[in-house]
Amino acid sequence: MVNATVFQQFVSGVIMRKISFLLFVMIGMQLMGCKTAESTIAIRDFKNHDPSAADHILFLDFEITRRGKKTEVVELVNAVSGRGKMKNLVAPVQSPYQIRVLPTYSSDRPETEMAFEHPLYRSVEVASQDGRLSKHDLSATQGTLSIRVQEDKALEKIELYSITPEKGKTKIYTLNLKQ
Amino acid sequence: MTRFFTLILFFVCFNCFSQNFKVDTIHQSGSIDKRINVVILGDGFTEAELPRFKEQARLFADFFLAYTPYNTYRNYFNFFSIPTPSKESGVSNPGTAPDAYADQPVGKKDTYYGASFGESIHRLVTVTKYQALSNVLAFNFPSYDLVVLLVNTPFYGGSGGSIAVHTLHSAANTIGVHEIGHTFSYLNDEYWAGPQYGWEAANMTAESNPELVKWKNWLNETNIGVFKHGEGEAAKWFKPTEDNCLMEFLDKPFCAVCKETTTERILQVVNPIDKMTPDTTEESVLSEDAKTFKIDLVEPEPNTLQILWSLDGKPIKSSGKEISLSMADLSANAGLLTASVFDSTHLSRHPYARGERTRMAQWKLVRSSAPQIFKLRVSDASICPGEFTMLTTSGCVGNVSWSTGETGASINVSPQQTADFTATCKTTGQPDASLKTRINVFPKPEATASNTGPYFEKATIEISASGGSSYYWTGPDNFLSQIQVSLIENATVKNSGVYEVRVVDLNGCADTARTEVKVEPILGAENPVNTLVRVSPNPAKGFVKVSTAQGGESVFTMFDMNGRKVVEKRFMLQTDINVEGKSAGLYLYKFSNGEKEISGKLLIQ
Ligand SMILES: [Zn+2]
Repeated sequence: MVNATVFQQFVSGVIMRKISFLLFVMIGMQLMGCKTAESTIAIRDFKNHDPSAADHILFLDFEITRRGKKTEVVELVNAVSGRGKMKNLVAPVQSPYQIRVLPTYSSDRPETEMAFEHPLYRSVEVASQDGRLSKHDLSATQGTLSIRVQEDKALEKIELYSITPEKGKTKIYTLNLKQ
Repeated sequence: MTRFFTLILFFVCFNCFSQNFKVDTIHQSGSIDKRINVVILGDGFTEAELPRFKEQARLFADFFLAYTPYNTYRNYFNFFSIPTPSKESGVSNPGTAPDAYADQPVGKKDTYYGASFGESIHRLVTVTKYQALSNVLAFNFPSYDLVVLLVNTPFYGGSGGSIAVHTLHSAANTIGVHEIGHTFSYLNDEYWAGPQYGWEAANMTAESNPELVKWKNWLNETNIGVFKHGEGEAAKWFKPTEDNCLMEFLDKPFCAVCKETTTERILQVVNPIDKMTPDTTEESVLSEDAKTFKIDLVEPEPNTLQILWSLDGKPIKSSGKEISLSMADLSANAGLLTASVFDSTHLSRHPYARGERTRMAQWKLVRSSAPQIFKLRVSDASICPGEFTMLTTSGCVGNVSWSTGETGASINVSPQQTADFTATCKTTGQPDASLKTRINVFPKPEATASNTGPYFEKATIEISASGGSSYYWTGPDNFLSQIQVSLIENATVKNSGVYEVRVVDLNGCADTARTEVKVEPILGAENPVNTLVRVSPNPAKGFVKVSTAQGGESVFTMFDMNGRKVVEKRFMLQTDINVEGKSAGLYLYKFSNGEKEISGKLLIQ
């Protein structure tokens, strides 16, 4: 019976910890013309966060939805942490439609924007069995942006910018990070 | 003015641990941080089909590592696979695209990453469950460099982007290699995809002048030239080959320019110097003993790495992965050892390659006990009389002279007693420096040797020595002994002769001494019937019977070898003499009866 109680405490402890995994998603509603959404997440609330690890890589999935003609609504849907260091082998993005990711630091670490394919305006390469290739532009109303960022103790926030030829560069999301 | 609405979402993750999967190593050439790590994932493989996934992952890794130029740099890559079981086998097929395959079954499949053929472009096979992808990578291999996802269907398809996706169709694996050409090496397509895809890349340029075009070093190669992408808007852009590159057709190999670009990219990411021994973070102290410096290399096949070792910028060795240096190699108190490694591969004709990607290992060297000083060292500070010791100087730029009158960096001395020696370093323009050392000479041990003889045969010889702590006897009849007091039982005349002992004291100093042992034969048949007296047995033990045929009183006297009288007995005709308690050895006896007298030898055992 003692063992069963201990087990129950363990299980409820696990649940409590997981419940504390909160995603504060602030959706900038179209109300009053406010567009920029913002949320805050603590590093310890990332799934799989290992406080004992020396280096962490943050995996973030954002769902981007087009509302109306101009608005892109961003929601953080997944935040996972992994142990280790990543090399900066960023794939190049040349499309006029892009998401720019800007991590900002409280230290004097230089801020480097990273370019990602815009999930709502994708340029896809299609292969054929005869070896021929072709490019196609695909647009969607909803898509997922998956990014990977090396964690830094001074990492304060990650800003997302949407770049389109129509609107130029617009900030669409700010993710504040709590250490 | 900004207003925020906060939406708080509670995520209860009960099955987080199910995100952990076993990572299979397909090909590991080095540590994760020092190689390009390709992770292969699989979709649409059920638990039972996972062995098939692992096999397919291995086949793709083999295909990739055999593809030029990756084959040359297979040691620069690691390949892993992460098997994740899907609930259903296969891939979703909406069947809605105009190019959908007529013979492919339509339907949705519940798979791990939700891979699907395209709704509008059928061959465009992509994943749909991006969170599953992030989770598997974050939980199992967060530091991946490239991801390839294999979709369990024999129908042709695939896609590029952040991960390369392709099916198990026999022609689909070049999709993965082509897409990695984009994501890893930043290659552009060599087919004309439209004006929005025209940009400067290693294999695309607006420069058509053969003197200036970026691949000008390859223009003498077959199939390489400056080719217009097409007419109209395409005429503005040029490519290095036509119909001859993987970046244009999936059934072609990389053209020379794309091979060069890929090679340069691999060499940009992976440093061929894998390890430096000793550690370069601390200064390496050089003493008079040689110290070895070593680099471990990631070798291409064939190995085109060129190694150059230099000390303070001066080349000292032009090959080899290690070098040995001692203090004598340093011209100053400190130095800088550099191993430069350059890959001279013919895959690249990049004009500034040597300057841009010569990798270096550097060690800061310091002399032990720097700054340089005049030093005097002795091979043995304490010696025995008669031995010699070597005195050696170091650090004298000029000439060394000695108190013995000799000159030179080192001398041998053999003092008979403790003495001081002085070395003087005379360097022009500098004051003389003198160093004194004392050589301690141990006292010579005084060895003695003696024996308890002379002996008759059958006696026990006793030889003894003194003066040290160890004794090494040699003597006649191959006698050897290390016992200070040695006994030789049942002596014979062969044991006669000089015994020599080498006596060694606690300092290790030795002396020798000698003693001469005499063994005489016993004269046999000493008691004929008509002789005056009969003494028996001889040798005797316990008692001896003395008898005579002479009447009247007889006297029997015995002497030991030192001449002391040990027995005197008066008797008539015969008597027994107790010799028990007499020490073993040879005795002399004298028998007298009236005027008659005779003497002889008696051996007591
Ligand atoms: Zn392509």
